[in-house]
Amino acid sequence: MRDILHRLRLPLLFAGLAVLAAISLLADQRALQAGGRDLSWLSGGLLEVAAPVQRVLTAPLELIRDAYRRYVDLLGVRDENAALRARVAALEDEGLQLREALLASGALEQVAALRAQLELSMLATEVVGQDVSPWFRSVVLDRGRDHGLRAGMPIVTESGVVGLVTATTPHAARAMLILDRQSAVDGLVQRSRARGIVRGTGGAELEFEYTGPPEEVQVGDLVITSGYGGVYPKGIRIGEVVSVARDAPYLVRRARLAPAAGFERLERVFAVLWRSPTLELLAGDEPPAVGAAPRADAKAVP
Amino acid sequence: MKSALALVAIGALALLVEGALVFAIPAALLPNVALVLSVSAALYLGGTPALLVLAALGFASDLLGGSPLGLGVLALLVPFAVTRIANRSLELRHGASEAILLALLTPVAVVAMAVLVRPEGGVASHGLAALVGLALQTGVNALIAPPTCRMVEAVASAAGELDPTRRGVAWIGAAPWAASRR
Repeated sequence: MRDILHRLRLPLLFAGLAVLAAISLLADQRALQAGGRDLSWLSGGLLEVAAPVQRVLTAPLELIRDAYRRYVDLLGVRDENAALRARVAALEDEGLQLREALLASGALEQVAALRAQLELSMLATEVVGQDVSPWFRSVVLDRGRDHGLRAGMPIVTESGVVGLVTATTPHAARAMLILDRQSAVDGLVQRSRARGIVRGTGGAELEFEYTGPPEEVQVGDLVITSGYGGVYPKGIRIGEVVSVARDAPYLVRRARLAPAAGFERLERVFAVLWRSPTLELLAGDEPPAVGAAPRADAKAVP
Repeated sequence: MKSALALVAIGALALLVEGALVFAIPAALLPNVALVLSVSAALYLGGTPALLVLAALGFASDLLGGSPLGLGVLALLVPFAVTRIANRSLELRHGASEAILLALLTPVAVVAMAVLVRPEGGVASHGLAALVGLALQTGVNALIAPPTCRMVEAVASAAGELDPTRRGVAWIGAAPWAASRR
């Protein structure tokens, strides 16, 4: 018997490892569907060690890249400056006209109220690691639970939506980018208010699926978060429509979006210190009161 | 087991460095550290320590990379099994054969991952860019396979843990160096 067991040791270990990996995979997928999780002490420990090490490793690379970028940016800065000044003047003019129109319609107060309602605390965090495989698009952040981050919190930049925190440790977190093929965001075309789902493709672009008439989505349209998905607050930029599949014979139409957030230069991002009541309930926490103040223990960034 | 632990430490460090390098170098030009190391371990270590290296690096790459936990291990099991079986009857402990083995196993690992990630998707769903990326990574993996295998061999030799169970069948018409290596 011992001889047989000894001979079958490797196949048994192989099968055992396969089963263990499959169970981990299923558990991880379930946790992700439930809005993320706090990592176990072993997994969390590795990420805790990895984040500062990667930050140290990334620093010299950042320095070189930054110096190169500054040099490249300086080339043609004069022409760009003149063009931007002209653009600012045009936008200021447009802003004045819009303000006038809003005042005339009495909507300015409502807009101000909405802004106040949407104002949420944010936490600045550095991207210190990135997935190298083409299958998943995720990043490691250098802030974690101790800084107020929780699984399910949205990650944004000043340009738009970046992704979602999927796992946390005390001092680090992992976030899935909206480019990931598992990502789906409820989106809204700002111009036509057409709703749809923005899916990651795994590549540099996003896919917007909608069911309305084709004219509701046009090239150049801006797609923003609708707030319906229960994950992202309403009104954050997701991307701009770059192509529309016009002849799709199906009910569901598709458009390609260029993401608003600059994923090719993702360095500093902001975690929105907010989770939808649904996610709070899934996480076993008390749902926040409507209009509740943001977490007071977090370092707010204006 | 000492060699397995040393290789896990080396592999984890390599994964960390790779995670930082991806900001400066295109991901397709970076090797699949977990695959190369686990195949090298399957060639030079005994079954159990090699499996330990695979498990540790598979889980570590999942954690650092962000893929669902367990996926990396499952995708590495197929190349591992192929290597162990092929190593019984082929002379694989040589630079050229190690490079060819990794060149063949890189697409195998990718297909395994594609099947696990999205059964209806696969490599085709990623288009031409993904295939170019796969070709590049296959080349990079093949390039670093011989030095990685030398390193694993050195670690295993130093710990006195070179795989003793290997049958050691030579090439047909094997050269003297092949016999001397065994």
